[in-house]
Amino acid sequence: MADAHQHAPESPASGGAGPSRRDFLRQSLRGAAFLALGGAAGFLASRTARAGNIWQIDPYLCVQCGKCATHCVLNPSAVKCVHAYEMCGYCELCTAFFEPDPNGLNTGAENQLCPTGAIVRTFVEDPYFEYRITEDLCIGCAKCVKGCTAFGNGSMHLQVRHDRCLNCNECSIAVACPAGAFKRVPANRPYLMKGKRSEP
Amino acid sequence: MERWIPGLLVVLATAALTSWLLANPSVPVEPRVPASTVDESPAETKAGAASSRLIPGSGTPSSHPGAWTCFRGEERDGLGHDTVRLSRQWPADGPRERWRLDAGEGYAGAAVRAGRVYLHDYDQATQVEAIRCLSFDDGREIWRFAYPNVIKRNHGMSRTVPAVGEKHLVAFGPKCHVTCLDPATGALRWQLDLVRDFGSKVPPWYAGQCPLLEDGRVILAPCGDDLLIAVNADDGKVLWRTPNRLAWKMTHASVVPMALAGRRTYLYAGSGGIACVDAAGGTLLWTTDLWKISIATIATPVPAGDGRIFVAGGYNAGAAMLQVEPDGAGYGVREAWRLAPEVFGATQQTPILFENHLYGIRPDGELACLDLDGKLRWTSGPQHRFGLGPLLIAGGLLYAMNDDGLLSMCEAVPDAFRLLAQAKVLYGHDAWGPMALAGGRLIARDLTQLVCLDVAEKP
Repeated sequence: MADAHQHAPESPASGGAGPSRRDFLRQSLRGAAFLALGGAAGFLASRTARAGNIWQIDPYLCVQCGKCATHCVLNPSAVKCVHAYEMCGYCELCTAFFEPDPNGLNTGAENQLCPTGAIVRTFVEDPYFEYRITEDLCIGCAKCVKGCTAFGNGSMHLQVRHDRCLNCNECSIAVACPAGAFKRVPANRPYLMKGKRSEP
Repeated sequence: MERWIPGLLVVLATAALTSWLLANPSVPVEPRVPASTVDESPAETKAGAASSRLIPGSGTPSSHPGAWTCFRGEERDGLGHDTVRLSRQWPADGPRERWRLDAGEGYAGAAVRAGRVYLHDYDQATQVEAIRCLSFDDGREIWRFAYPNVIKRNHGMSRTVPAVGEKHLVAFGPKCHVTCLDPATGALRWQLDLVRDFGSKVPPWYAGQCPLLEDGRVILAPCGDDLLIAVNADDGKVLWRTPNRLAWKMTHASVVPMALAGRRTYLYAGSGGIACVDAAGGTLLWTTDLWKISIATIATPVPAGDGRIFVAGGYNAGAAMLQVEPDGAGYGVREAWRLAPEVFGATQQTPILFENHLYGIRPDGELACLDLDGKLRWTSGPQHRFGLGPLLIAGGLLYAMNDDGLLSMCEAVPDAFRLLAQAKVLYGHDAWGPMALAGGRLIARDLTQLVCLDVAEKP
């Protein structure tokens, strides 16, 4: 039986059996590159695994019960109203902004549905008005969402804002939610916003 | 020394009050007072038939049978009267799709007759209203009648269903232009501008009134100088007028015929209540303010037989059954019963009377069934909600769409909510346009897309 070594071409620089210095360097560099690549992949994987899932509200299941304002461990709640502008009608008579049967369609406090005045109504052009949420004032009570959904298309909806949510293991709002609207979603896709066209 | 103390106190108090008034508050205070709304948008261009164009397309009429000739179908009752048998189950991926078509933003539903589908559309890019005639087979356009009109997006633009007969196609535009065309060729017969000619005021969110075409006449509710008018469908000339003495404004409801003690009448829910006029000459028979909604009246009254009229609305209006009775030489109207909005209501879609029961979508989005005494028979429950979506009944089946294009089919029976099938058929939002069902084909839409589905039973 022939020895495989006997058929291997001898490196001109080797001067004898065993790897040359150049081979050693090449293999070392290759090993270092593999190590770096593996390390980077491991780092990214660990970050993803660490992020895991977080809480979010499915706006299509939310029934605007008001518990988001009262059951969060934070005060004010980490749940805020957000606005899908592409769905909004920019109505003069906005049922998210105005009390039913308002005295007038103006920004007088007596006409506003929001208990904290968190919605800013700005005239754009006839007959359009823009409605913008001031998050620092929003308490997540869903009064505006209920008004918007009752007659409009629900362009205003609630979301857990992850710049303040503590991501409790057992979310106290999720426990109280009567509609099962609280879901665990991947942390790298933390919001369930309305307004996008779904795919067939 | 003591005599200086009062003066010193006055000086100190004045200084404290002045500093308190001049100092900035720790929490910024902004007065929540009415803001200015000065309109600086450019004036609108002229609209109407004078600049209209008839544009031919490549489609051809279908030979497929079936008709859905106006808002809520041929009898204006939300029921399909075809004899085509409908499938009670769907494949896993839903009923077969025959065609799909992009449309301008809106809620306008389709009318179907003689193999043609009619749609009142709006082209936002060119700012023209377009009355489109499509092939029932593949949705390709046969022709479109287009005229310029600047309509700003305000929860879409289009929102009415045309009325079509053998010789007339009548469409009601967002800004109250009423256009009559030849339904085969698209040639213009006449056009009325209700704002200019009859003093109408375009309702908030644009006009949602669907024209009524019957007996060669078009019945409209301008709610300007006249409450209701009848015009000759051939030439648009006014046949009779009902003066608008109560100065009611136009709502989103539509005129509906009602038989009252053997007499043909028309009902209309205006801003101030409900009016009933004689169909022959337009004489005002009675009005009532027992039913009026301050923000928006959208659902149309439902004649329920024996002088009963069922009404339902949004904005906490709830629902009520009105009873019309002879009263001397005229009529009296009383409320037979009323329901709180938590029990029943109709924010947008008119409920349907079917086999002595009323089916509708409540303000909380649940489908519900009532008997004619106002007793709630069932609801679909919070797990099956339909938002502001449309519904219709045919062949004992109730089809209901939710806001996001999930079509449900259930049995139209009063004993229980029984869901038979569901399928996602539209992928946008605001799938609120009234559906049409003709020859076993269902046409539905969301804000920007129409779909035609085959829901007939397979042979």
